[in-house]
Amino acid sequence: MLSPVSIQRRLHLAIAALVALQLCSWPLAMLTATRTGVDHMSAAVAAYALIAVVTVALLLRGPGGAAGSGPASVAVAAGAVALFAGGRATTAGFGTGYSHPSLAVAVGLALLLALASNWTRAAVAAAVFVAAYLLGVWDTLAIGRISITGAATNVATLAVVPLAGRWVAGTLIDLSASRAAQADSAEQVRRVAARETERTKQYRRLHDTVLSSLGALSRGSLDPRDPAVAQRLAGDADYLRGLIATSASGAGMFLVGELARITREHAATGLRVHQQISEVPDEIPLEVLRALADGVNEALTNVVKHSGRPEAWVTIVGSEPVAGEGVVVTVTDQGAGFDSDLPQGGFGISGSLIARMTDVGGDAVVDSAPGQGTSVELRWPR
Amino acid sequence: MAEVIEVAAIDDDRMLLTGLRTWIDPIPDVALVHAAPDVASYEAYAAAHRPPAVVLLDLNLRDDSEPADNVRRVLASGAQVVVVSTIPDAAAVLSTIEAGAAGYITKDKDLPVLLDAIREVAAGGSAITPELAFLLSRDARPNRPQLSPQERAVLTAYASGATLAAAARRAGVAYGTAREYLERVKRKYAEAGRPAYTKLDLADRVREDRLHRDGRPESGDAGQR
Repeated sequence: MLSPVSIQRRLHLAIAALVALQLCSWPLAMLTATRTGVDHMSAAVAAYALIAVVTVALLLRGPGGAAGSGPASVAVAAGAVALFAGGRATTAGFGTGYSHPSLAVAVGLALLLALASNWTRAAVAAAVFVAAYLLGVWDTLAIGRISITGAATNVATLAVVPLAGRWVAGTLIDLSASRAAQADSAEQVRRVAARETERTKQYRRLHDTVLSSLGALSRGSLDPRDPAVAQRLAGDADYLRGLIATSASGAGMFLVGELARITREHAATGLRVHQQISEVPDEIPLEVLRALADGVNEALTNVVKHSGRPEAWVTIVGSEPVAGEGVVVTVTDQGAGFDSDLPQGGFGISGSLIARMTDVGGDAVVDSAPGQGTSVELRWPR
Repeated sequence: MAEVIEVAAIDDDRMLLTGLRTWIDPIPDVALVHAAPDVASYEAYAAAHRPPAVVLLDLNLRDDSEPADNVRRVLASGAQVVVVSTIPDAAAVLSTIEAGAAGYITKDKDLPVLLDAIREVAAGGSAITPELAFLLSRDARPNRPQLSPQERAVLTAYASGATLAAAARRAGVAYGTAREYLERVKRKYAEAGRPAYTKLDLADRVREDRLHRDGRPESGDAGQR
């Protein structure tokens, strides 16, 4: 299904082709006909030129170029003048046929105007054209019934073609817009479902971690004065806080869940991880999330090995300025640090991790200075 | 340290208040002189005693009082305010900083972090913790105070847990400048709140707020007199 915009573009091209044919018809008729049926050739050429210039100018403005009331009014006025003058220039009896210099192009112009405006304006333009045409060919009409039949056909074409064209185009565009809206809402449903799945998974993990801690505490089988227990409880609290902070984002909840798992794995070393999370996009590809989680894990391992401090900060935010489509994860410590301008021999994150982030379209940067701690920034997209 | 810093806490979780007391009791230079379940009880205490230097104010009291309003009421008593909370509710925390709170800290922090904040605020400074810096750096409200790029760089680095020295180096400024930037950011927020020049003004603002919200003076006013 085409989008409304591409439908408009194609209609515009079709009208341009039609107008090109219409522009050819009168000169060809004049060159080939045995009798031109034109009394005042210079007036006829002027009428033809006027409507040709106006129509082509409007076409060159592109789809919707005739939408403004300014250009549209000029075009209607010029078209009416050309129709009237063209009719006056023809010989009596020839005003309904090939001799009329501006009739054919006027149909194209009326269609162009109708597609770019509302129903009222389209109808007014058609009425003005019909009136100008009929007044112009009055001498032909005066001859009698046969010529009136011919004129009626032309009037029908001038009025019906633009209005019918407008109706068909409007229907096509509405249809395409409603299809697009349906597709959007299907996408919306899919996103919500993905987030719900992630939520269910997190609740199950919650059951496993936080509830078992609370249960053991209430039964008295865990001693909160034991530093390992205190650490576990702090991690559980961080996990809950993180879920609350990012409940609108499936990707955010996934990262908070992964961080809780990673933090537990490092808990035995006594590492305390502070986490902050804000404005993570709802959807981030799974391979990116995995690469980010691995990166955090490796950076935390380095904190334990090299920083000499039992604390680290993990910050997860949507890309600047606020809620872009990307994500930035930083792992920071306030420990020993090193000179990050020197080759990093095991201190920074490994080449394989940088490669992994690069593979998924992201990037990893280490910043450190002796005595000032280390910060690893994982960024996606690059 | 000769001077003992007097601290009060306003929190409706009794267990946490008890825990706070056991935490602070052994600390020689800090004394918990009062613990109140809501701001009106605190106001009654402050009217009858010398106001404490610092009040630890729970962000979301269960009586549904406005956090910013609570901050203004405590400031009107003559104490500095450090806001504490379990969940960093960004909009509420930012409103308390704009109302003039000197700092913000989450309840999961260890005692030394809390003591640092208390001492800093009692000495006339502010407690810009990484979590407060984080909320300030992620502030996307259209009417937020404008920060310079360098202020933002220091704030963002500091919010990510970096030391002030590292934040200064990354923003390309001197250590002292970075410290000044953080203070300046906080000042911009305090100035963005409505101007309130004296204690009397503050008390008026509080009354205005309540009149505005309820259309009538509250019975809670009694505690203020």
